[in-house]
Amino acid sequence: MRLALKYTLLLGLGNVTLLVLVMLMTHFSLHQEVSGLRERFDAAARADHQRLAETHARSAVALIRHRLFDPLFDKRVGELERIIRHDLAAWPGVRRVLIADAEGLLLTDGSLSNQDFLTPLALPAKPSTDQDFQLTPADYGFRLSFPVAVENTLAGHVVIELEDGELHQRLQRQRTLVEESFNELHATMHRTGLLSTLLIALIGALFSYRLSKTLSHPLRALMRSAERMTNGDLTHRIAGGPNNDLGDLTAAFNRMAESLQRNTLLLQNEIAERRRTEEQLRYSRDCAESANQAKSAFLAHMSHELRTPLTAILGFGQLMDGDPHLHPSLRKPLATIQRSGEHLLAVINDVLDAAKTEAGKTELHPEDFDLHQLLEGLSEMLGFRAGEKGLRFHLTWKDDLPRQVRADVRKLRQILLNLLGNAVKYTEQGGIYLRAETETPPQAHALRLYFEVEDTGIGITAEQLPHLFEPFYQTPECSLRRDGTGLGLTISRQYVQLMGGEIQVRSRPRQGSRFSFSIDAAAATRPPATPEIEPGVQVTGLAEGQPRYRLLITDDDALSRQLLVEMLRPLGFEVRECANGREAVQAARDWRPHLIWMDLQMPELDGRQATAAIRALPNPTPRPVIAALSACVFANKRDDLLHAGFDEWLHKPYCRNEIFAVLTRRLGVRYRYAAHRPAQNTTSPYPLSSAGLSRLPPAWRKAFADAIPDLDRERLLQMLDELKDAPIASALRQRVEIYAYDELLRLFEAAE
Amino acid sequence: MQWVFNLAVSIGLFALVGSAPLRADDPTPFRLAVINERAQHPSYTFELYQPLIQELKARLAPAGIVPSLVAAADPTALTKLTREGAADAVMESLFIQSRLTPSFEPWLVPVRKGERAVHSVFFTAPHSDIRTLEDLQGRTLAFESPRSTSAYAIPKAYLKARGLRLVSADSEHPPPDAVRYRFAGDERTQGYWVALGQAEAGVFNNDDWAKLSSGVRLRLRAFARTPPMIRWLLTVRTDLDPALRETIAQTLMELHQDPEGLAAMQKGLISRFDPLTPADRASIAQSRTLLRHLDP
Repeated sequence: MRLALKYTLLLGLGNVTLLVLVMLMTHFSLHQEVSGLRERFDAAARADHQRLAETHARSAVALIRHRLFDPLFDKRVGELERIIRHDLAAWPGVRRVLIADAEGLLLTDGSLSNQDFLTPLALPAKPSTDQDFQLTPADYGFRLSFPVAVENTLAGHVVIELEDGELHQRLQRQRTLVEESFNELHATMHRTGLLSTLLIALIGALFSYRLSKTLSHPLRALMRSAERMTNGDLTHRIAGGPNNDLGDLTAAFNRMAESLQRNTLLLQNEIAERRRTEEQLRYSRDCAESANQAKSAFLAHMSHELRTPLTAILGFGQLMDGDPHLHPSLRKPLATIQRSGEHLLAVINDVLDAAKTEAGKTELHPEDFDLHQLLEGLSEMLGFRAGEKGLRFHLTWKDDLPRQVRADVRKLRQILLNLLGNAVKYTEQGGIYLRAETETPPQAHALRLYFEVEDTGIGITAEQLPHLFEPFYQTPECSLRRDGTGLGLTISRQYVQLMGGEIQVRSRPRQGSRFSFSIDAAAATRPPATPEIEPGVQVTGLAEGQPRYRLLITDDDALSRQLLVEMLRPLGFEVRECANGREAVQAARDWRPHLIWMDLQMPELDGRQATAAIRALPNPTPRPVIAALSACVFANKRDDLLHAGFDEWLHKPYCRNEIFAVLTRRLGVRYRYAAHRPAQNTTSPYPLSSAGLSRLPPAWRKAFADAIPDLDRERLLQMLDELKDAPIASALRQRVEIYAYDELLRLFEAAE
Repeated sequence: MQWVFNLAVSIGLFALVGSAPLRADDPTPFRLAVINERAQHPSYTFELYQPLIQELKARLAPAGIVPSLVAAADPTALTKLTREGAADAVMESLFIQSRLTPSFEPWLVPVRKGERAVHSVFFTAPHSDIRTLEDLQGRTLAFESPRSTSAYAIPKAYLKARGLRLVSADSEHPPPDAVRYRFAGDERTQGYWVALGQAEAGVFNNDDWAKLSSGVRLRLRAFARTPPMIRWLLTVRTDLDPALRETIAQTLMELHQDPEGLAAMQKGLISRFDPLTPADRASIAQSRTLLRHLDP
């Protein structure tokens, strides 16, 4: 006969549970019964005691009432006290006796002190004058109160407090008896419980024996098989099995083992295949990383190797350009050298910027700047180029565009230059539009700046648009021009992304293009900085009334040193040279320079080590400003250099005015500027803006504008002398020198 | 002839005994009379003074003196006892002593209840308008009992000496200016009566005033007092043998000098027996003069 296991288990469990429940209920019932018995005994004892107390009270009242009447009526309190002390006090259980007059005021409590004399005594609401008395339970036992009266004459009241010590003793005796009975019952129950437990244990043992045969043995077999499978033996199977639920379980287990063995084989094959793939991928990645590192190393090396000679080429070119004794026939070839050098530098910068961004080494360097001035400068610069092609250039911004903001101005300038440069380059008629606004209202210091560059140029086809930002991609129209590196838009998009935005393009062929982007910025944290030296302005010497500044130039490249010496010494600076870091430390200690130009890559002691040694010198007076000069754009991060003790950092090649600006910023150096510039680099005229002209005195501005159509160069130069050394005067003088009268007329008309 | 001889021998022997009263083999009684202070408790007097008598017996036995206690139920009984010669000495208050026959004279001063002399205090309710003894005219005055010295006799005599008339409050037509007096039965009831308005004034001695319960005391105000007087007095029969008298007096006055004697006296609330000083005699005389005002 097949008996289901669960029914066997349920039956056994039910029997045991029922037995335990019966025992518990019996115990509980007995306990309740004993408790009830105790309470009934107590109640009966109390009732008996009450009856007894009432009987005693009735006798006592009858005995004492008449004896108290006369002294109480006459208020012979002394006699009452004697009765209390000598008679009533001798009654069993009397705790205290209180006697009051007919009004209920206490006459005496029998004590010598009688402190409560004439205080109201708590009495029944309506004192009776008959033979009645009141016996009420109290904390201490009973309170017997009765009036003392004869017929209808009330003499007073008596209260006798009776302690119920006898009741307590009786109750205690009863309780002891009940406790003893209960204890006997308890002992009997314990014996019964012990026998029941033994019986349950016997039943349990028999039940366990039955279970071990039908349940435990097959389960242990299952457990051993599961352990073997856990240890990796997937081929093991359980033989046979009982003819019940466990037999079904055994069969199911064997089927699961077969499935597991099959799937494990498949999984192992797949894992092996994936491992081979991963090995190949890892090898490919290592090769790619090695190639990338080699590329970065090559670029870093080339950066240094290319920039160092370029520094000399451009630097000496600028020096020669500023030489008034240069033969006029040499100025055109010199300008060609300058333009070629600057173009080469632009190409190198683009390639390096793209490489840096690709390598993830590009950093944002936010700084406070005048956004309006930046836009005006770009407008003037690109407006000039546009004007040369007969194009209109429009700069507009909304009124809420903040002037002072904080962002990476160099990258923003480069983005806008790239987009505007392309717009000018690929537009032949119509105009260029530069628009700026804030995308969202300013919240705290957060800003979102929106820029838009639109042109009416050749446009871009829909097929070209997806490839527009790829490196070195050029449309067929661009390829024909063969200028540019093809990296400008790539770098611009990377910079915009770095600044938290994305460039959007909308374009239609032969109708024009519109590039727009937004960047994250912040409100400026500092007031506007003092203007540095404007590009293109010719510095001719030091202004009067300044100390003689000592400048130390440290560079292992003799040409680089010579360039700086030629640049600075003629202006009136005291200059010394060092070929390595060790000499620089010695000179810093002995000569105490105001500023040290420090190349970073030098033999013996490099720029970082030398700077650390100089900063460790005791009490340097004055504390020297140390400006890093580096031709490598990869190896050095700006923050690292500042932490290493440097105050400034310039890339090679640098221009003269960058050098002069550092001196102004750090030492407060003031310069004299050229009143007449003998020659001008026509590729980079100083940008003028109508906004800048509008700040000039209106009368002077009107007189100058009126003089332009007369084409009287001498008169215009004389009027400009009235503005003395103001930078805008130099810029205007430059335009007069090259006879750019049409540009001047357009700017002054716009300023009006 | 033989009976004549026997009679003569007996007479001779009697004469011999009579000539040697202090011999041990011829006990001489000494009967001390007191009044039982609690009529409802007849044995109370014996509880008080039996230890003293026993101690005296032990001490006077060598002298052949056998002391004994004679208790009178009240002053009248005491007077009768003394008159009949049933007492050799009486220990009582001055007022009771003054009513004895002249055959008793002051002998010693028992210092009882810690006080050698007392005075009576007149008191009334705190807000009463009674300020002087004369204000008692027409008012009710609570005495203790007719046998009390300090709470009846002396103050009554003192008031009468000041010209006031006193009548029982139970009189049917008391004169309006008379002091109407009532007997409260005990000193505490006197105080309660005045506090409860049952009487308008009361009087008892300064010891009772000091022992008043605090609950009652704050409802009373003292307003007059009598001159001091001897509180307790031991008188002796004037014809008592001087030697016997001297022996007993000496024994009594030495009792307080040892613990046994002191304990025997203290049961009767006596701390010692003092000899009479001239001042005591003067005070007794003054009190007796005062008490004469009680005579009808």
